[in-house]
Amino acid sequence: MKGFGSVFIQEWVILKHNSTWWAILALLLVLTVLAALNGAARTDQMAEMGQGLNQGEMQTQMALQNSVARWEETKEGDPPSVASPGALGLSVLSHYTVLPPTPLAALSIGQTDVQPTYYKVSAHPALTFLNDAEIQNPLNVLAGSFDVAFVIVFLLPIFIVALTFDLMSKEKESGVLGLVLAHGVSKTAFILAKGAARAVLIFLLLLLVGLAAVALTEPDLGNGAMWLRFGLWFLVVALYAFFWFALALFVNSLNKPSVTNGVILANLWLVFVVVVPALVNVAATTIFPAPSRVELTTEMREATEVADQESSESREAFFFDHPEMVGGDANADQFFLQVLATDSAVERAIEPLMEEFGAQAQKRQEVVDLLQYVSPAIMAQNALNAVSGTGTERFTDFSEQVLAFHENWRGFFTSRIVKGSQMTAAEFDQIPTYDYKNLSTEEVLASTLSPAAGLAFFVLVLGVWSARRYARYPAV
Amino acid sequence: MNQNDAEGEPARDATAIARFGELTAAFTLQMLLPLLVILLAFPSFAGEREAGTLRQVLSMQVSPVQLLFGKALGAAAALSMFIGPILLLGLIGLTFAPGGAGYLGHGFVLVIVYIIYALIFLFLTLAVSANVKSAQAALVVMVGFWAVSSFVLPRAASDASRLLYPTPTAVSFQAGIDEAMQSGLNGVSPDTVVQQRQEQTLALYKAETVEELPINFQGMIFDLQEKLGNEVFDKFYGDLYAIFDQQTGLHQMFSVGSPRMAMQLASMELSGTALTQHLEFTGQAEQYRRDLIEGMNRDITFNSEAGRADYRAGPELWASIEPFEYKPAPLGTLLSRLGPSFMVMFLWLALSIVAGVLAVRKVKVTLG
Repeated sequence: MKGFGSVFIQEWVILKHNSTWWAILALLLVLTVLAALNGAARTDQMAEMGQGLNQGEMQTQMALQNSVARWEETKEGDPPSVASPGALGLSVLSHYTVLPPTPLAALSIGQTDVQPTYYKVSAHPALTFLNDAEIQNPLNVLAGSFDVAFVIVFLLPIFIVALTFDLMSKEKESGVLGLVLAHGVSKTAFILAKGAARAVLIFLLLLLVGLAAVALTEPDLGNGAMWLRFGLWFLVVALYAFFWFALALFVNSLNKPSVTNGVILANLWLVFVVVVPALVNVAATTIFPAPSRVELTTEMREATEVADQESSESREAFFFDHPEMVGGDANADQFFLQVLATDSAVERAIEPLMEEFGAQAQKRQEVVDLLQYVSPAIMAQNALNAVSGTGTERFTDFSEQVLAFHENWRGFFTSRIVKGSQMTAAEFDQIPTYDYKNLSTEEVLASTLSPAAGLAFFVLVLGVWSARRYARYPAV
Repeated sequence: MNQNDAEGEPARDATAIARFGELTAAFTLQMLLPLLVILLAFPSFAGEREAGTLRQVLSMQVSPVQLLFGKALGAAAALSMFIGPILLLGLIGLTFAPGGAGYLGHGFVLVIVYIIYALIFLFLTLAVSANVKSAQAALVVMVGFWAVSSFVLPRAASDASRLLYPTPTAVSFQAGIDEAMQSGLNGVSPDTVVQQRQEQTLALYKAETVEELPINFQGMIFDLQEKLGNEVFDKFYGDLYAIFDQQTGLHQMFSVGSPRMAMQLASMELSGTALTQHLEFTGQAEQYRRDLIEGMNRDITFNSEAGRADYRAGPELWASIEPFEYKPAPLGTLLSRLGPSFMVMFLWLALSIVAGVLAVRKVKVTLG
């Protein structure tokens, strides 16, 4: 590695007076800061929304509990209608289960805009709330978000390529290479020093911007788990940047004119960042397509219709259509039992289709998880999403937790409806509560480190290959 | 009484990589075609200058402007060998597709817009190539412009529109509707309205109770509730769609800086996949539903007996219902709606040609 130090310092001096270099750095800085601010604004919006959601529900629950407690004290007149678990569980109470943003959520918006971050859980079947979606302009969903992950995955390579596509070829074209080599500098040391001079500043810049984004968005800077995530984030960003540096060095080792290098690298960017991900997407969605959601809605309606018809001969069906006419307690109990029967009939009819949705989605994800290794851009995006807690894995885990909570919640009310018992004020305290458990550190590590390892593999192969080529690189 | 939100969006079932873009014809033509143009044309002037042939060419009594259009023609010819058959196949496919013949006009306009789109990038690349010192610089500048206009600006527009014109959350939207359904839009609750109508109707027929009426008053209640509900939905969805309009307007503003965004808006509108068309369809379907329900309620009012829940209408009622037919907006409407997008594209085309002419004029001066 003879001459590395002197070339490195020399490069710094040259870069200091290179306005293009500073322009590119400044642009990268501005874009990343804007993206971080935007991500922070989105995360704030989300956190704010999640906080207010359950206030109304909790107030309702307290008020109802108090009214039952008051009645229990005096025992005057009929018990309040909310003492009926049917009225409470099937029409009055529900509970919002919220997915809190993780630290670093501001760095990658990921799937947040298309996956639900909260569900309104009721004692009705899960399918009644699982498909609820946030209101959005489809045009916005189509474009995606301008977040730091986007700047890293899409734009950072363009900057790196612009800075490095003629790293060796230009020196050769201008005849400088021969002069330098005549001073006994090794070819590998020369190219590495030139690359390192550029990389150091870019890495420093990314580190600073990342830290700034964390400082802006993270209330608790003493949080160790957050710093672990940040370490992972920077590891992924660094490996991805390394990949593009290595790729540029490799293309330079092909000993082609600078223009050709530029075209080759522009095409490789297109292949890795645009074409291959689109192809992987096509593969995943054609091999395991999602069943039709229109079909799901239609089946749900038909099943409801059938269940209604089956009960239409009985008197209760009339109450089903006209709950306001339900008179005594006996009738009310009958009515809620009927609702339960309809609910479970619909659920039985829809279950196969819902399972198909889940199974297909899982297989699709497996295809993507496997095929991500063909493109560093996919690996980087997946790893960045995982670190920020905005990847598919966390949303899947969230909906599983919600379903488990729903089972609890629903069981609480249905068991009482079936028994025909009334709610006591004390029982209100036993209504299940929802408690979100974050993915464990091991799980986050696992879903980040495997794509990171893929990136490292790419870097290694390119590095070794380039080193061998530079050893034989013709100086003139 | 319910209006559906757009549910079951395919985005919900997509994996995270769908974000990189879906491999559709539109994606290929809007993203990859300009890149092809750039790669074809970036060395046109800068490369010749580096090779020293530019001086020779200009010494052959060729005017710089002639040279510009000559280069453009050459590149366009090469491109059309590649793109021409694709566009032609698309039009032929459209002719033979069921119902496609009615959309040939749309197809032609789309092809013309794509040609303009490609020409914008062609002249811009030539202008940059003539302006900068090296072919490398031309490549970097044009790829940068391509990346910014294809990726950065659309995303920036989507985030800016979210921040500037936030849509209500699904929860608050639903809560607002529930509240308005309960207590009425203008403070008069539906129950009060029904009560008033009942008194008016009884007075009109000089009856004491609803049972004495010659009509089934239940039908009128249904109709009244339906219309009160419609007012609520019209108000809330009207407000929501007004926000969508503002957001789309912001995308249109951003498209001034990005030919790709203007192209995309035009392409979606002409292909019938734009939000406007979805909302038109929703509106027509909703109107159809309302007419249907109104007919049903009228039938209950005039043909059924009060208190008889087992009333069944005859087959002639069902036979009188026309099937729903979606009437897409005519091409003229689409074109007028696309005015801003077309204007942006024409501006870009004019700008890029002017930039090209100015740039090649300068080439001559620097040679002297």
